[in-house]
Amino acid sequence: MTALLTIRGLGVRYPGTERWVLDAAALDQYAGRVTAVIGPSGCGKTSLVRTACGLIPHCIPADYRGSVVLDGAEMADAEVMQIATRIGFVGQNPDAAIVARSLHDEVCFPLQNLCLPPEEVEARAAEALGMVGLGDRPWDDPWVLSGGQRQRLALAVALAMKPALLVLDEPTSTIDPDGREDFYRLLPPLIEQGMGVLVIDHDLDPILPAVDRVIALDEDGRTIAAGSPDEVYGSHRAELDAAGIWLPRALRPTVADPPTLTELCRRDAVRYLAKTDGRWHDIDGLATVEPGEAARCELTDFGVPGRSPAVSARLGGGELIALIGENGAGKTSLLGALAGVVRGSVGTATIDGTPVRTGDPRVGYVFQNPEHQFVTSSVEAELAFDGLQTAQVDRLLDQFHLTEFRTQHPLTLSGGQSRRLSVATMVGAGKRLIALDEPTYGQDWANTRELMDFIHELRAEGASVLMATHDLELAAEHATHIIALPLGAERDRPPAPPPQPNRSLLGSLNPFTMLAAILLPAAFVIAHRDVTANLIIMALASLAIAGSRSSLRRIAGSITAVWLIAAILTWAVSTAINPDVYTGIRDIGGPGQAGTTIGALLALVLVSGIATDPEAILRAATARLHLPYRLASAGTAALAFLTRFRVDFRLLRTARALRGVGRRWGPLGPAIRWAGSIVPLLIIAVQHGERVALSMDSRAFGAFDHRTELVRDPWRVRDTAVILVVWAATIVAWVLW
Amino acid sequence: MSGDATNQDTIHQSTRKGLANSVLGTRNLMITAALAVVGSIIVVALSYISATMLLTPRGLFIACSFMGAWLIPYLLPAVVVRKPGAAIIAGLIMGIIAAFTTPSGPATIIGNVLGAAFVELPLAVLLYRVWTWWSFAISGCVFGCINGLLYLGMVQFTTSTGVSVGIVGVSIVSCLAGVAVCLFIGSLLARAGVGSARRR
Repeated sequence: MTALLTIRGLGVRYPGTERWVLDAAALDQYAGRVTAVIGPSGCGKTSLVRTACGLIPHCIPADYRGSVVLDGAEMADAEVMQIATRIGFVGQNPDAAIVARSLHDEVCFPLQNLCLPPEEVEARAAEALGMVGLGDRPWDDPWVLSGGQRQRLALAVALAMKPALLVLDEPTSTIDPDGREDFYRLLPPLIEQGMGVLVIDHDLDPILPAVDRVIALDEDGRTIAAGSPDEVYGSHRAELDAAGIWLPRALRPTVADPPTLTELCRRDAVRYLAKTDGRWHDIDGLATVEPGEAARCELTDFGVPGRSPAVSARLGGGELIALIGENGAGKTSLLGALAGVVRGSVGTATIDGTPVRTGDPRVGYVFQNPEHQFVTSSVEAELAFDGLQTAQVDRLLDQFHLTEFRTQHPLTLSGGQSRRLSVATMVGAGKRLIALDEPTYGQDWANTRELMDFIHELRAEGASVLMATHDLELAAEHATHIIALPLGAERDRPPAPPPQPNRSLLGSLNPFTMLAAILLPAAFVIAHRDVTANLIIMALASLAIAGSRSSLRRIAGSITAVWLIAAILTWAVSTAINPDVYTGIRDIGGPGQAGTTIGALLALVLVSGIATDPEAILRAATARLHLPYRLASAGTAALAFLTRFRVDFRLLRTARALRGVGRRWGPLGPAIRWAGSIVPLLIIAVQHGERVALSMDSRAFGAFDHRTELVRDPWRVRDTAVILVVWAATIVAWVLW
Repeated sequence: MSGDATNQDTIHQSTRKGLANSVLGTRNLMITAALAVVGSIIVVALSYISATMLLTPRGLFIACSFMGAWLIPYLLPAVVVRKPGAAIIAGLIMGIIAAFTTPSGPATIIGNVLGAAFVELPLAVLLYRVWTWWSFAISGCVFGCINGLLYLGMVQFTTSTGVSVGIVGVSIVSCLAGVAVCLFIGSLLARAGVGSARRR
């Protein structure tokens, strides 16, 4: 049998360093076989799979040594088409994989890049979505899916390309146990049909029965064992243990089989459990203080409507409460609301009898994405920020294996390292309630054990620890109590309806038509500056906007903006501006002239875009103006980034408020936090841009200098007619006025 | 074993040329887009501040002292990506975003691309071969000088020659500080291997 992919003597070197990651890694990947690569955090597993699918060296500017041969060709010489049609890739971060606004468009993206005929694109997209169980909701926004659904979507995207080899880079590390089972359940039929699978995952249990070969790496990237699962796990257990590698559950010394979400969570209500003598049992309410005794932390029907159910608890300190539930159940929202990061909470949360405020220093919060919470520019400064002495900082650095990174910027740490640092910052500063959102995500076995020891230390100091986690085994072993959020929140969500074409006159035009049509009226407005003419234009534009069948909010906002800005400017020019200073606006004319001229221009701009959207304009610019489709894709991506980065920016500022940044500046505090959040935002933005680029490159982006367009924006007679009518009316008005 | 040893000695880099190693390469393009989006957040905030500042000579001084902050969104993509066209594409994207999120309309696209062109012009004159602190400093000076003069041209009150020179001077000094910030952020990203371009 000929191997699909052969790797020999592999090492990877990233720019700016002379260190080689991986030490002569080797594997042969055959059709219909499953290879699993295991190893501790930082051993180079991700570098290996990224090289195996060509992202290194083509998208990530790293070199590799040794050889990686795909279908007889060296990976460094392979073209986009060659890789994209043979290898499908699903990465570890489902957020970074999203490049489109609907599931349908997401799956179509690589097929369009491969320039397949539109009918085949549609057929393959429907088939792939159906295979992963998302066929009934093709028009959903990917961002409203749960993490598990998003990873199944990423799998659908890969499968739509009909790859011979599927490369999986920790695809289930961010999703709940049921989601993990659902994901891996999809693979065996595909493997039987001949698809090869190369997988790395901390928890291989769900796919272990299908694995043919395991390659185990130590922390330096050296291969310590390679062979069948029985051989590797049976004969090399001591080496695996020493390297801190997760063992399959069957080989781990657990007290009992871990419970499942279905066993722990109800469908209709929050469930509270307590552990007594190692056994879990239901309790009516979570209270660790006697009735009548004052609780140190008290939650009373505290929740976020629409996002998280209400929970109640009376805590005396020293508890470790696991908050569990499926993806989308509301764990992050609940913790975020406690910390003031998520708005719109109901109920009460008090500490020592006083309500918890936004940015309350008595609450410690470890974000799901730790990069949001760092407020200084070095690891040691981050630990010292809350007033720890140098000796304490040194101890923490040592405890969390961060000493060699002490002067490094926190945002430059690896995922596992930054998560350890984020948990370490919870020490000291008198925190009474510590909310941890997935603190052990992405950690190997050794680090998870150490993190849990540290969390128990926080408990021992008297803090109540509330920990959201997907790891039910960890929860069952370490927690004192469990709050289980109800099941079904995601599955009950109805699918989005298919997009309806805008049947208004404006909606049926080419996106450029109105842009061209308003040019002459705009020139007329600037030339005449006539109040009556301006008011007529504003009125006509408002009517056109009202009849555009756009969303009610957009219509109302646009019309209000036109008239409000005209009114404010008229008022400002006539009364508010001191005549001794700037007269720029007044140069336009009298109060009415200035206000209505600006109002009329704004009305024309808004009417030109009311029935279209930026994506349609970019699409039309690609088709009509020959804008390179790469540039148009950058514009589309930028629009998606805008929504995401606004959220990131708000989280960064709130995190700073939580850590007390800017507090001594009083009313200037928000400005200090705004300015201080810019650099972290830039770093997060670049990292996100890189991740999205990886997704795009693994989806045949740039295989050709054009792509298949599924939506056409033809130029019809009516487009020419509308322009001529508008221009003719303007010329008539110009002559007569 | 000898075969493996030979294999291990061979170092491979991507043999794809042209587009992949230009600003239109996916990674460079997405980094540029991401920086442009954050830049647009800065630019929108600065627009509001500057609009209120240009009313008096003192305000003009203050507005010019913010010029370095205006420079960052245009210069940073050039510093990080180091490919011809990075600043212009970032300006274009910032313009497209502003066209749809502010009432300025499509005219703002031209303004943003022009701002980016002021930054990129010195780099183009140096044939895009010099990507170091002094070439970025020249870009900052050009951006500061032209925009300082534009501000002077826009205001309606008259200023003495001394004040005018002072205003342009403040603008240039501010831009040099902006260059320093860009270089700092660039080195921070490079140290982390984040956003680093293919430079070998």
